[in-house]
Amino acid sequence: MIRYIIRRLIWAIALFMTVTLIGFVLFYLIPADPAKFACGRACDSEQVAKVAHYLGTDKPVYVQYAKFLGRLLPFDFTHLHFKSPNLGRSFVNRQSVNSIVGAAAPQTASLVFGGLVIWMLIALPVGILSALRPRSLLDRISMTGVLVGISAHPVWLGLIFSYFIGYKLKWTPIANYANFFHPLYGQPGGPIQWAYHLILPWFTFAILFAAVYVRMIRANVMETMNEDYVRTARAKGAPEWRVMKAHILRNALLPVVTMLGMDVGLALGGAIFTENVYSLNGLGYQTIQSLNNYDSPTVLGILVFATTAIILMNLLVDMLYAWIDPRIRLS
Amino acid sequence: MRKRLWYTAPLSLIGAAALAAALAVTAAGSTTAKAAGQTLQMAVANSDVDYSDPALAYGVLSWQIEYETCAKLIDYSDVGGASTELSPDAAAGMPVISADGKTYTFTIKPGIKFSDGTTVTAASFKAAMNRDANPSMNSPVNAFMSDVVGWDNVVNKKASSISGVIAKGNKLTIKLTQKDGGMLDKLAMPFFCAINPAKTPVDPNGVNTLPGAGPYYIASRTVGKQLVLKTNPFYKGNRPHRASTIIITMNTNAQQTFLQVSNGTYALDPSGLDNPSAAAQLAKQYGINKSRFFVHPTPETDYIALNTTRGAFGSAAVRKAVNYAIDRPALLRVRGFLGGKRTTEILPQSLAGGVYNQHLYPIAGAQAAKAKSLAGGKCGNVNLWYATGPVGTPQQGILKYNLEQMGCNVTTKAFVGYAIYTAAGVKGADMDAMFAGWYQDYADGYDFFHILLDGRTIQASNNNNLAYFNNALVNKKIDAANALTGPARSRAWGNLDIYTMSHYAPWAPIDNRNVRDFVGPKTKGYLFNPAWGSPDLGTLYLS
Repeated sequence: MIRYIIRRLIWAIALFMTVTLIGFVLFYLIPADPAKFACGRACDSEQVAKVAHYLGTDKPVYVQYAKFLGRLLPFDFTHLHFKSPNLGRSFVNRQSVNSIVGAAAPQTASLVFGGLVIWMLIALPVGILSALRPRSLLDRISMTGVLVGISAHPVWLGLIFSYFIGYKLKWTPIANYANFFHPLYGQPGGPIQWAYHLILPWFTFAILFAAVYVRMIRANVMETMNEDYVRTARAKGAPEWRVMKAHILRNALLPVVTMLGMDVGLALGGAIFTENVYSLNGLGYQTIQSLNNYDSPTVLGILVFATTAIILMNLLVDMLYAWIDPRIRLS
Repeated sequence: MRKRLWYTAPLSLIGAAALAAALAVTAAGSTTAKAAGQTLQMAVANSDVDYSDPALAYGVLSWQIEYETCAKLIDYSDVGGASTELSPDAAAGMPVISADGKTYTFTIKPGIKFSDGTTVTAASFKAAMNRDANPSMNSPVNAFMSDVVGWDNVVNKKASSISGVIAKGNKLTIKLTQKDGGMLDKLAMPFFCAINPAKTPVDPNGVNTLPGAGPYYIASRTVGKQLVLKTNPFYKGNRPHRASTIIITMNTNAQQTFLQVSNGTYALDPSGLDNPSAAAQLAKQYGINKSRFFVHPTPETDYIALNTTRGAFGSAAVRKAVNYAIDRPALLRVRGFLGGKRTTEILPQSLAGGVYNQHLYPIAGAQAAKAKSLAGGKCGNVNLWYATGPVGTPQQGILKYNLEQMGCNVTTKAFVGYAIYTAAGVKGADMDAMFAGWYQDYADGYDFFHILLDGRTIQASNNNNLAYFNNALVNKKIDAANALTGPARSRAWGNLDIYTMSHYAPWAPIDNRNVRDFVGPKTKGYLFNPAWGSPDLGTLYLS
């Protein structure tokens, strides 16, 4: 198991380096000078050069990348002491990228984990029941729902939900985020308001995933139900609930764990559409804003966070999978 | 099985608990402002102020905030109604200007205080200027102030204090290296807010909150999310400050913000209505400039820069032909209903000293036949550059068609965002025509002519003169206009505008953009300040 984890960690570091290097080079290739933008449009070349020196964009790309990696390391080799990893400062507003990512991540995490709960609450029962009663009325309704869920874009869904449920019916807020712990001045906050403000975003975010997972769970359960070991269990007289729990669901849900890890890791990088439509200043929204402004430190900061989240979630899933499925351990 | 599916139970419980709690709350607990005339909630769609530090803030939105929080020597006051005339703010009167026009002496009003109770003195302004020029700050203001004696020495680390700015008691003296008729307009920029140096240190990253000596001060700022203005408890002036607190939520979704202004959650989006498709309906429903929907021109010009150094548009006749060829109504229509006003001139109306609306070229539509005849088959190949987006992309299609009608062979090149300015700013770039826009930095024609059309400023890169226009006569006229002051100065810029466009046409001006504001159902007191190009947030209140 330890060798397996070490192997995975080495892969994770290689993946991290590759992703950040590609991100860095891509920004370097774009013909936009952040110093010109930061200096102000009336600046002449001399003034722009001074700002470029301040931002560090006057250095070759490999020097910039080395400095970027150096800031990320938890150890300062020049002064020989431990330090906090530093993502640098935004070119646009000179704020610490650590604080930008730190402020955006809780909003994305709230959306993703809340959405995860809802999509699994929908997908598990509907997927299993559809598989148990294929071509029944319930199955046909749920498959129609799946089709709609997959087809409806989150932006469209979000606008429809916020207009009818938030604006017309006034059942929920139209948009915005309420902080769980420290509400902004004059704004609602606390756990109840937090959840109240996230009802529409959660459902908007969950519908697509719920649709995908219903279909996946249904297919897995139907496939497992036809396995020889299920037939054998039934032939031996095992009660149906036991067959379902110990033989069908146990095997059918294994791929779901893998998918969950990948999807959650990916979504933590920013649920761009849902965040945007509900004015949630999460990582996805920040990514769009930063890309529009060519704010490479912020984009790279979010990239580092997203890459780390995906790697960690995959690592977690791999370990969980090895723990759940003895065949993985043995191999 | 029970053991291995352990995670489903707590997840289900958490989800169910969160849903139950959420559904138990009524709509009354949302972000609706508890305004009652005291607290105004506003939202800015898809944007935040760049900085709240006056030395670094350099955007329409951030300056809107600074106008509320700053005490400047002089300002475009809207006390008693909107005005484009400069008047004293923290100064007791307009400055005494020496006979050679190179020394300005201000007397500071007594009794003006910052929100922390300290007194504003001449030293507060000197401190602001020294902080602006400090090389660590890298302030955008450096582009405008090289005329001040000793300013560049501080920027270049040769001195720690600007020798040409002297504070003595309540007198502030500013010495210039040469006469600059636009200096007063420059000093009205928020870069020159009085600061309390003890609480506004030199910080390369800018400070987020600082004491303000205007009617409001920035009480808090959560970058990217919120900015809170509160009334300065020591403010005794007559500038409007009706609401006691203004809470501005940043980076909201445009469509949702529109709904939230509609239902009164927010009083206004200070950056303007970011929903052009709604403008026609709002105008029909509420009228224009009557109750909830307001439209005003901004000090901005959208134009097509015609590269005067390259084959296609090297000829003034062909450039004039382009001004006949372009379909201004169609190009403007892309910005939505009431998106702006068509123009054939360089300067927006507020800077043209009354010399405006001359209609040098067709304003009602393209005159392709005349354009073709004027061009005389000399247009040839044109590389048209544009920035992609809901405005840029359709506009390039219209312009391409217009240019082809006058006999040009057009190739388009797309850019994303401001990359187009970086690329086009390199001297020798293979651009023949490009879409551009310029919003005034300060209310003076020099800000347009010197930066955008003075050929002596052309350098190897980072050019703003995107037409690469360099005409000795025009350069001379720029210098002559810059030596003037008062109404004669404004008129000189207006006349130079007409002269340049009628003789050389380095641009094909399209429009002066409007700002469209939509306010909440109970929001009253809307007042647009034409010199700033934005509404005064201090006049707003809830009925």
